[in-house]
Amino acid sequence: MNSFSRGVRNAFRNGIRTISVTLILALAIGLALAMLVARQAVQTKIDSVQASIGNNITITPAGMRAFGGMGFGGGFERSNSTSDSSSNSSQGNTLTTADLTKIKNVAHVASASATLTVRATSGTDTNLTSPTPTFNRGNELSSSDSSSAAQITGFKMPIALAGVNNPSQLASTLGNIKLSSGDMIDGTSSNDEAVVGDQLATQNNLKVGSTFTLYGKTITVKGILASSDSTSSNSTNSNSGQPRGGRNMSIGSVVVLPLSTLQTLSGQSGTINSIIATVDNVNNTDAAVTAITSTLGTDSNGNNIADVTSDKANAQTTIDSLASIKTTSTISLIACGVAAAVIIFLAMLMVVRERRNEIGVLKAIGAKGKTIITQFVAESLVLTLLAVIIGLGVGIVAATPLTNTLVSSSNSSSQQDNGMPTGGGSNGVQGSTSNGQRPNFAQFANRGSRAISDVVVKIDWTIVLYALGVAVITAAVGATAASVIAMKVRPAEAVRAE
Amino acid sequence: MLKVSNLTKEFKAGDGSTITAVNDVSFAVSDGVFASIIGKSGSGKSTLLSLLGALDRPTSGNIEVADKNIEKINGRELDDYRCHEIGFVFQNYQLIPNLTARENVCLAMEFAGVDRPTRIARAEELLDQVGIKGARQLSRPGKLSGGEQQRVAIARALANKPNLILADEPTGNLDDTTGKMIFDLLHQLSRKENATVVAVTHDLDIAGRTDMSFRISDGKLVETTRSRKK
Ligand SMILES: Nc1ncnc2c1ncn2[C@@H]1O[C@H](COP(=O)(O)OP(=O)(O)OP(=O)(O)O)[C@@H](O)[C@H]1O
Ligand SMILES: [Mg+2]
Repeated sequence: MNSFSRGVRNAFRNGIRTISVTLILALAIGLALAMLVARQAVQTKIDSVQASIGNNITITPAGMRAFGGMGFGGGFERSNSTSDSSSNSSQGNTLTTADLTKIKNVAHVASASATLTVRATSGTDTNLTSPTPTFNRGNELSSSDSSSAAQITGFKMPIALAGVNNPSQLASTLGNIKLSSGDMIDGTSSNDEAVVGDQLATQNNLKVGSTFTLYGKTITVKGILASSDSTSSNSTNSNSGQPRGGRNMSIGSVVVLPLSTLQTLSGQSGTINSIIATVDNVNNTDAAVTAITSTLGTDSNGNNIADVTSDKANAQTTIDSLASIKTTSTISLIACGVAAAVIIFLAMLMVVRERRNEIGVLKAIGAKGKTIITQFVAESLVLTLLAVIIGLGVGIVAATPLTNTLVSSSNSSSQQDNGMPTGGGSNGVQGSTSNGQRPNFAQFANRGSRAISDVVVKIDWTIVLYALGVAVITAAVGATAASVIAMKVRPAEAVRAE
Repeated sequence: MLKVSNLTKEFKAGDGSTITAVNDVSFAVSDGVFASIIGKSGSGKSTLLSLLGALDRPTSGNIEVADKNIEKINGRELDDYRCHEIGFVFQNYQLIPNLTARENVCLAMEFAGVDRPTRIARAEELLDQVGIKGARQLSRPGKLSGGEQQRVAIARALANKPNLILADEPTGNLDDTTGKMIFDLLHQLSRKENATVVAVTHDLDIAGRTDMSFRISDGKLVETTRSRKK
C-alpha cells in the first residue's frame, strides 16, 4: 500500500457518489469529445473545400443559378412546379456557341467547356426508359395536387441528356465520375455516340457497343458511367433535406453525348446551357468573372445575359457556413470542458470536506503534504479516467448525430438562402421547362451548399489522445482543488473531531 | 524529558474576543513516566495535548522534547517529529475506515519510511500485543467494537516507537471496564516500549493510578499530583 493506491481505493469509498460523479463527468467529457470530433470533421471539410477551390467559372443563362445546389432531384422538382401562366422576362436568355467562342477569347481563360442539357421524353424521343428514381415521386410531380396519385403510375421519367464538348469537365462538375467500362466520347466530334449512366444501362440492357434510338437516330454506347460515389457513402447528408442519392441517381441515369451531336439531334444548333471556363490562375478569377460578364453583355432590359460565378465565390459561402458550425462546436467544446472541470472540482471539494477529519488524522500521525496530495491526485485521476472511458463511448456514439445536427441545421438555412430565386430565377426555369431543357449540369458546378452536407465524421486515435489529455487536465483540476483545501486542514482538527 | 515552560495558546473567537485556552502552563515529565491530565470540559486539555504533539503552534512559551525545542520547527522536521517522536491516541479512535486494522497500523510506519515486510511484521506483533489476533487484524474498523478499535489505535500509536505518547480521553467512548482495560494496556505497553505517556482523562480513579497527574482549570495548571512511587 502506498499513498497512490490508497487514493485509488478512496475513489471507490462511496459507491453511489463514484457512480454518479463518473457518469455526469462522462457525459460532459463525452460531449466535449463529440464536439471535438465535429470540429475536426468541419475543419477537414473546410480544408478540402479550400483545397478544391479550382479556377473554374460557371456561366449560365441569367436566373438559372438560382437553383444551384439542388441537384437533379431539385431540378426536376422545380420543373414540375405549377405557374406556367406567369410571364417570363428572361425566357429568351440562352447561351450560344458564339458565346463560347467569346469566352474562350477572354484574357486568362485557358479553356471553356460547354454543356447542353435536354430532357428526352421516353417513348417518343427515345426508346430508353428511365430507371426508377429513389426520391419521392409524388412531390416532384405535383406537390399541389394530391389527387394525382393515379397519374404517377402512368408517368414516364424523362431521360436526361447532356451534350458536352469536353467530357473531362464532367469530372469537375459531377464529382467522382468513372467509366465502369468502355471509353469516353469525343466531345468535339459530331459522332452518334454516347456514354450512359450504369443504372440507365441496366434498365435498358445497354452494354458497350449496344445501340439505342434518340430523336430517330441510332446512337452507339461507347462507355458506361459508374454512379457509385465513395464520398457519399459515409457522408452525413442523410438529414440534409436533399433527396439522398439524388446525385448518384443523376449520374446513373444520364446520357452524355458530344455537344454538337445533341445540338443537332434536339434541333438546338448552337444552343448551350452552361459553360465552365477555366482560368489560368486562381488569382485571375475575379478579373475573368468581370471580363466574361461584360463580354456577354446585357439583354434588352439591361439585365446581364448570363450569371457568371466562380468556384471561389461559391466555396466562400460554404466556408462561411462551415466556419460558423466550427465556432458553435468550439464554444460547445469549451463549455463541456469547463463543465467537466467544474464537476470534478465540486466532486473533489465534496470529498475533501467530508474527509477533513481524516486528513487531520493523517497529518497528526506524520503524513507529509506530498503523501496527502498524491492520494487526492490518484483519486481524482481514477474518477476522471473512468469518466473518460465511458465518455469516449458517449463521444463516439454522439459524434455522428451531433455533427449531423450541427451541419443540417446550418445546411437547411443555407439551402434556403440558395434556393431563394435571385432575380427572376423561377421564371428562367419555366422558360426552359417549356423548351424541355434543364440547367441541370450547371447546378453541379455550384458545389457550395451541397458541400456542407458532405462533412465526414471520422473518429480516430487522436481522439483517444485528446480524451487522455482532457482526463489529465480535469484530474489535475480536481486534485488541485482537493489538495489546496487538504493542505489547509489543521492537524489539530483530528483532536476536535466528534 | 518533556519540559513545558510558560506555554500559552490563544484563540480568536467568532466575535473577535480572545480565548486563552492554555494559560502560562509550565511542567516537566521525566522519561518513561505515565502522566495524566484532568480538568473540566473546556478547560484546555485537548489544546494542551495538540501543542505537545505539534499539531498546533503555541502563542508563546516553549516545549522541549528530548532536548529539542519543537514549538518552532517547520516542514519536514515537523512531519518527522509527528511521525517518529509522537504517538497519538484519540478519543474516537480515528482509524481510517477503509483500511484494515493491520493497514491502519502499517500506515504510521509507511509515513516513517519503514519497508513493507518490516512494517507488516511489526504491525502483526503489535496487534497481537493489544489482543487483536489472526483474522481480526484484517478487519476494517467498522467491524470492530469500540474497545477493539482503540486497541488498534494504541498499536498504531506505538508503531514507530515514539518517545512520547499523547492520548486524549482514550477511554472516553468506552464503558468503565473496557476503559480500565485499555488504560492498563496503554500503561503496560508504554512501559515495555519505554515511552512517556501524557493521557487526558476525566476518570479520577484512573488518574489516581498514574505516576503523575495535572489538574487544569480555565487553561491554568492548578494542581500537580505525584504518586508516591515517582
Ligand atoms: N480552534 C479553536 N478556535 C477557537 N476556540 C477554540 C479552538 N480550540 C479550542 N478552543 C477553545 O479553547 C477552550 C479549550 O478547549 P479544549 O478543547 O482544549 O478543552 P478540553 O479541556 O479538551 O474540553 P473537553 O473535556 O470538552 O474535551 C474552549 O473554550 C474551546 O472553545
Ligand atoms: Mg478535549
